[in-house]
Amino acid sequence: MVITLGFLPEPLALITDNHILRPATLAAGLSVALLASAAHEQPDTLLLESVEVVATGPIAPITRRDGSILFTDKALDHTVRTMGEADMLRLVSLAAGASSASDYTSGPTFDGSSWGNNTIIAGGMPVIFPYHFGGIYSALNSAIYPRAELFKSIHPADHPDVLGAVTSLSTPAVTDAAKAEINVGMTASSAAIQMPVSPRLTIEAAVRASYISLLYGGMLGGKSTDVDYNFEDVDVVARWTPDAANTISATLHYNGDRLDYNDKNYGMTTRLHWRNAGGAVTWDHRSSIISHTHTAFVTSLDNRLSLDITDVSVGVPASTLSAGINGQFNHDNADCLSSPLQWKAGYSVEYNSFMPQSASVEGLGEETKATPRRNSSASGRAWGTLRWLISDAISADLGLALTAYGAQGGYFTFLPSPRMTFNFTVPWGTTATIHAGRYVQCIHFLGMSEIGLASNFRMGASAAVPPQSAWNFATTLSHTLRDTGLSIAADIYYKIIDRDAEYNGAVLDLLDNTYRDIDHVAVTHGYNTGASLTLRGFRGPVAWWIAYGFGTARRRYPATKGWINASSDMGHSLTACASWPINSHWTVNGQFSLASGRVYTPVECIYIVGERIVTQYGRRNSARFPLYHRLDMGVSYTFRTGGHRLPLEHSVNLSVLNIYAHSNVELQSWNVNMVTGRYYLRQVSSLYRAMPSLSYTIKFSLSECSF
Amino acid sequence: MKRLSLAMLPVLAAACTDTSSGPSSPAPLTIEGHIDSEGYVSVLLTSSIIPSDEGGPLADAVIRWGKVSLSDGETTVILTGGPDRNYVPPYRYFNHSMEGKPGRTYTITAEYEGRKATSTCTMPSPTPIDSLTAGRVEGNDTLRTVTVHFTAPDDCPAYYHLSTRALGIDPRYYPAMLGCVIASTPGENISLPAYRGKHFSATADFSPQWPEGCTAMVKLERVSEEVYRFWDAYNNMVLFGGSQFTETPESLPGNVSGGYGVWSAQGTDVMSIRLQ
Repeated sequence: MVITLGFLPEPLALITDNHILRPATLAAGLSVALLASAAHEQPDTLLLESVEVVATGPIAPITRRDGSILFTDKALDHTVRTMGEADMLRLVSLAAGASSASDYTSGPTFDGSSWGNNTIIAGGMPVIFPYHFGGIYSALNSAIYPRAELFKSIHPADHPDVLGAVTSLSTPAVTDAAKAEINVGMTASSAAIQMPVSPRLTIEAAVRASYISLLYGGMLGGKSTDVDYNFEDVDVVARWTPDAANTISATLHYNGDRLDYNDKNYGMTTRLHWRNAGGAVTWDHRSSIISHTHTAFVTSLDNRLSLDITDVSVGVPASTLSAGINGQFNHDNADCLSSPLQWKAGYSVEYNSFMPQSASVEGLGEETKATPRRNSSASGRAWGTLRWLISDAISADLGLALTAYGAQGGYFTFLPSPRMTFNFTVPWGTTATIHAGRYVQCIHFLGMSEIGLASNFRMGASAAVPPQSAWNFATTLSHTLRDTGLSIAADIYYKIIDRDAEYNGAVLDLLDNTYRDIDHVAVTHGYNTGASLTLRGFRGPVAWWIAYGFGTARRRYPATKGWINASSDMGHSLTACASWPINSHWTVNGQFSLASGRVYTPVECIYIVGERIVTQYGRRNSARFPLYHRLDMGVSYTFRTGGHRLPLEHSVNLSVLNIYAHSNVELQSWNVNMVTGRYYLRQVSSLYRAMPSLSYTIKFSLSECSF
Repeated sequence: MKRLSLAMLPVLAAACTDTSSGPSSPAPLTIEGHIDSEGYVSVLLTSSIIPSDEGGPLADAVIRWGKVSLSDGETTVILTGGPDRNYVPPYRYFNHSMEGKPGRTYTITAEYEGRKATSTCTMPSPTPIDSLTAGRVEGNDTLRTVTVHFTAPDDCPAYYHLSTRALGIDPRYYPAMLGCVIASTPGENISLPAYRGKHFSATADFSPQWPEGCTAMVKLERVSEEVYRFWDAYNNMVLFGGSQFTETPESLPGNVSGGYGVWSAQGTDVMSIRLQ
């Protein structure tokens, strides 16, 4: 049985997590949610076996003491739906410090790091490319994963080692009643069910299929472009609690996407197909002495980019397979918890296998088929964190991770990653964090696209392209004005980037029978720096939050003098969200995004060779597209039917993306009008221009039934 | 041909009236030229354009009164300019008094309104074409494939570029689609598909294969490594530059100092085949 509370004050929200409650952190007067063993339960007594605090809400993201940001299902319910879908990863992309200046990019970048520097974990399983095209929404169903934690520049030692952000999606800890949800939208429909099969076994499953082209085909295309796109995804989570001390959960995910894009201007059709598949099993053991958690996972991504130009067809496939096991030990002894020193330690072992991108050509006389060679790498990592409670107001986390990495071909390296975090709690409800740490990343995520498309590929570090590393320095500050309910969170970061890898090859290079991907990788160095500010509050029933971020990312390339803006250079980014529940039926929400245009390489001049316009480029990434801005609005109507026998909650949601149809430029090129003999600038703007969507959701919960 | 003429009408008209005293901005010159072994020089000299967001006439690129000279290290000749509808832009510089000879180093110099561009290239020995073979296109009775066969020379690596022309259809040779290859091993037998080039007036139904009944002319050009790199990058731009999924903002690696484009002194061999 779980007793769930409503919204709780900010300090609790800052320090709570969804694992074992630490009594020392309970505030006075706090109520708790109890997890009881049904076998021992009597009507008026409960055997307390573990304690879990569940804070439901608030609507805005919560910045926690360690600088991480928590997103809950309540926030998701009050955010504008994207084409009828409420998506947790899309909500995460609205956080301060996230870039939002493009509708074509798949997923955001955080604090200046590139798309390949982020990782998303769902139920313990890394999902390599968890986006549907253009990042319209993720491939992970938010009905299964209604909770997300975002770690930007400060990562705990137990997190995977990446230079960017870690987003961890999780399912509710306990499901004590059957729930079902059906969502019918204009782009896709889904069904989700949560079922306690027995007192100890719960299964959750969601399946979604799209029909985007059927309804939106005409809108997605343009004067000279046609788009055909469909996908499906499946998520399954099972949780078994054999006894009070142990929980075993299993996670499965699959998504398949198929995009065909025809550009009549160039007589070319581009096909991009990708598929994620994977699973994880986690064993969580709680004890009065040492608690431990272990996860085994396997995850894969297969993608294929095909380019059809008249009779010629070029196919570029690539694939990645990763498998591993990781674990964590916490010293949760009651004596330890009151001790000024607490520790955590863990390990991870991972194996990665890559099929590098290669090209096969048809239609050019003799068919050529590439024969790429699969290469592999492995890593082992041990880490430990010591928490020193210096005083009631100050604590320090001192951590060290040691990574041993080896790759096919005899490459081996040893990578230490020390980390240090100081946490302060001062009077007036203010918390602060100061962090310094080294981060390493042994897997590179590269590709010809600069906007993180599924056509990109992964490659293990090697002697030619060593592991990336960064020194992160960050500080966060959080304060709540209790009388007003206004919360302020701010952070500043500076990252020194070493050996950031970037692919600089062209498609035709793939046709060279001496092609090696490592020959087309540039290793760069640089820095990211920036700051962000988040305000959130309430005015009557209206909940709002504003996130502003500024960031700059610079790189030095081997053959170029001076600093170059990285593709992930954010500039300014502002997001303002508001939700107004007018009454028990109607809710209106809105979301405004304003950001510096994405960086691009400007054209210095154009000239004619071979009867074609040829572009001479200027300094890389030295220009920006025009300012990006758009307003999304949504309104939902909720009503109930069925009484007590079969209570159903119905929601009808209407949302419009980019309600004033601003043309946000995504791409531009110079073309020639054959009739007039004039050259002209062709700008391709975002797909989202006054794009409406309608969805209908039915929810059912057995706990609300009475018979 | 008809489509090309119509498309180029505004450019031709501008060229004839020569309203351009040249571009007013100091945009670099562009040289696209070559001299073949046992052939003569041909150069397209244009001005690059610093584009404005409002666009503009392509005619701004045409240069009619440029001074173009060619030197073989011993003799320098001045090229004559004149309209030529077979090219885009339709103005060409040429000279028939200096014949291309393998082993010589040719320097092209172009000057116009204070701007100067130059390029130097040594002509390699030509590699003879062993044969051309034709084949059918699967599923299409009206198109044919052509393959060029030759033997790699002793002084490898050797760099090659193909130009092709469909006699009676194309007014001149065009850079062939995917027409670049490197010969690495002396004596190696090399077979390379010879495709038609996709040029300015190509329509959406353009096919790189050859129409049945035409005469396919293939010119095998042995070029310097610099020229090879240029055409290889050019091929990539033509084929994949329109894709947002693969385009990378890289300029073409030309070999012209003070300007853009490519100048090639090339050892050439030509063969034709009638496609039944």
